[in-house]
Amino acid sequence: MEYLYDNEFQPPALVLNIDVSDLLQERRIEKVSCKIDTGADMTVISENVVASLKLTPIKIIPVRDYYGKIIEQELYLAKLLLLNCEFNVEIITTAEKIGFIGRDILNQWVILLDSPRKRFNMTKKAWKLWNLLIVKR
Amino acid sequence: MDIIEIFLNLVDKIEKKEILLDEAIKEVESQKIKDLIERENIFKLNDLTNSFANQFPIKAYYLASLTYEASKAIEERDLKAYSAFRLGHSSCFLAKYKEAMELFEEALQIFESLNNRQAIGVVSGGLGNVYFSLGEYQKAMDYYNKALEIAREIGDRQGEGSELGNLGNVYSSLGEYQKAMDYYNKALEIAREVGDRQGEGSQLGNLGNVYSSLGEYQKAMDYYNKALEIAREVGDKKGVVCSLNNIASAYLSLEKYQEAEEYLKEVAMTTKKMGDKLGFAIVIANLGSLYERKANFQEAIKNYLKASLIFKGIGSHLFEKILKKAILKEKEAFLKMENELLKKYSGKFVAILNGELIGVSEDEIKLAIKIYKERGYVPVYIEKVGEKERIVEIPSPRRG
Repeated sequence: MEYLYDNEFQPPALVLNIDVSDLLQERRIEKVSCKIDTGADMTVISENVVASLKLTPIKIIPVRDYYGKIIEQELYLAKLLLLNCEFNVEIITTAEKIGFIGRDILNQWVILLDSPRKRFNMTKKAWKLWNLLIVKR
Repeated sequence: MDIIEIFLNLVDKIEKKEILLDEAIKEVESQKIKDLIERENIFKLNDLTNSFANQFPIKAYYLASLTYEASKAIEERDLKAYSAFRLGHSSCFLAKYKEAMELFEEALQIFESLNNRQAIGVVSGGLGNVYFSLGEYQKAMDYYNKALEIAREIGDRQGEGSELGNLGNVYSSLGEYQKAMDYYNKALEIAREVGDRQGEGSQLGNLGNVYSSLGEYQKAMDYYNKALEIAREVGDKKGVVCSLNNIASAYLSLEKYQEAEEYLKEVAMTTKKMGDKLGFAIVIANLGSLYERKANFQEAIKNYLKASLIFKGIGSHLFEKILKKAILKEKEAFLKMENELLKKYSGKFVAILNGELIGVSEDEIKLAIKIYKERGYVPVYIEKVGEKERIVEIPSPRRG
């Protein structure tokens, strides 16, 4: 699927709107804006979204931030829906309104950037099958 | 429409989610409103914020945010500092300690440049409270000592008593009960000397807390009852609630659950009547803890969830902090049983709740779903046995 870069950011950024819910899907928040961030090990969601979903943390983990500082953060489990695919993943939170989709999810996709035209394309990773060779005798 | 009404209307709109706080701030910064803002109005708005703080903490926070932004339009530094202090104070009610710290520091810097000694003392006390809430006791002590020094310097006896009490709280949290008691007794003496009945009640309550920490519950209860009597006499509703809560806590420690429940229910009724949502949420969480002790888990979970909804409804981060503490406690239990778990479940995910192993699976998500389905969203600790803790890298600039 093809998407446009988000011009709200300067320079324009790759942003996806995703749905986030708790694991049992009792609550759901739609269209949560997230930047695509290949530098992030894990997906990060706004703390307001996590609070609205009433998620409870499952552990505290060390996270190294932009300044190289290690901070302790709560780890949550959530269900994310993007591009018609569901992912049950571990997430951490940010005080920012915008989240980040990290490599835990991105590594399952083929992403092609066409930056001059401010477009990008995301498709599910294609599994290549071996060709079956029939040898005629 | 006068400026105060305009601000209250904006707060109302934010609460109803008709506009975002940022949008309301932009409106406050618009020329139309800027022209109406005067020094006197900012003081009135800040006073209004203060009067809302207990009953409507989130409303107070929004109003303080708008007032703080508006104060920037008037180029008077003391006003900006005062507004920063009020917003910091409101942030504390929502347990937004980082934000409060930044605002108090901003206010302190301005008051220091203006050499306003009294204000420096008050803001230092506020910073002490923030560090105390964050468990950074040495820093808290430094600020309380600074505030104490200024109170003595300007002859503010009531302030002196209050800072001595705060220092007592730090020593009490550090487990130095004798030192804590000395400070509380000095504070009590000053409160009696200046006829500060409310302060007298607070210090009696603090002394009760020390006896409670020492396991002398009956003695603690005597102090709590004296504090309750004074609070009722002077109409200090907050003091009444605090004393009732303390008495309930002492009964709980004595395993007199019936009495504890009666007192907690009285606290719940009083806070509800007062419109003190934060206090009400805390007592509901305490009732949850009481039911948990009585092994009535169904009722415990019901109360915890109810408390969590109220906390979130008023925008308080307090419940997240409680949850974090609960998870850390479960982690302690996990670490204690780790060797045992390694022998049986190496490479598998285990779930720990109330210090006990409640589930094992090879799949973290399946394990979590099973537990949440059975018990609701309880603060369960899930960890992979034998896995070395890895550091997650999130190098993008972000807050929190």
